[in-house]
Amino acid sequence: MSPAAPLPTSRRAALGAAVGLAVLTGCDVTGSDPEASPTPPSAAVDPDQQLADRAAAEVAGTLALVTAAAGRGRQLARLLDGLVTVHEAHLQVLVPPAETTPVPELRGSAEEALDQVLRRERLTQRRLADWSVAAASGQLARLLASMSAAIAQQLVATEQRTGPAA
Amino acid sequence: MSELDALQGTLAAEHAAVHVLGALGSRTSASATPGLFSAITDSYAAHRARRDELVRWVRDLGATPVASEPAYRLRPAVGPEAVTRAALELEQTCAGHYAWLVAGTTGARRRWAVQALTNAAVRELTFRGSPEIFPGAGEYADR
Repeated sequence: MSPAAPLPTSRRAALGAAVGLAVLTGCDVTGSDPEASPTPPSAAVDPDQQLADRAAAEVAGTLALVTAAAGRGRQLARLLDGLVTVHEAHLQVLVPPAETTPVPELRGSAEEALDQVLRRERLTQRRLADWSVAAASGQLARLLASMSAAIAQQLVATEQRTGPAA
Repeated sequence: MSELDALQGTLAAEHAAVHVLGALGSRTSASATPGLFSAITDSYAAHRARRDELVRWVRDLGATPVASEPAYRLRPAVGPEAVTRAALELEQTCAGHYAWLVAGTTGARRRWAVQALTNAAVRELTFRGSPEIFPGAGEYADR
């Protein structure tokens, strides 16, 4: 099976998600109001927007790794299907990163690839929990916490199918 | 919603959870279904601990913790299948409350709520739940 291509970005999905995310972070979506002032280039970036961007980049990177591992064969693909679905759905809500996510190189056996994926997933789960705590917006915090919990569920489900990972 | 309101709302949910799990435990046989009995027991202990923590925090804020209701309506849950379904629904409901508690709190209490949400979501699997895309925040899955 060929390596997964870099993740495409959908402008429509990104715009739709950006509107939703703007609501989550409490930012106003300008552009439709002719009286709205353009944002000066030196304006400070909303910390919650930075958190959301980091979360999106993290999830995109983890998705790239999981997708690459799933490409190793049908057994791994079946094991990791749930994680792929979860990350894709999460990126629909967060704005996917503008840059295409590089596909990581997976070395070693299928077992080693699975171990690499599970370690990365645990890290992503912890990071999302931390960013949830750090978020100023309660809505964003709730979303990130839910995403973290979703990964925790997938980790348990995957480990139940394979046995506890190292 | 204030942080106190969020804590009181979650406490009310935990009072119900403790009551329901106690009832479910009484309908579960440790010898006939040891796995289910153990899962119910563990869930009961976890929710009792959460309840006690919430009571403490409400008192720390100078308020009177919301009391448990004198009785709770429990749908008939006879047999392991029905008990499992009832326990799953309970964990899903609590996950929803914890997700809102995350939104309504900050700092250490929010971290606690994040962990509680994760624990409830994982416990759903113990009661044969399927992994969800957005545990506790299902409206995001409907977009």
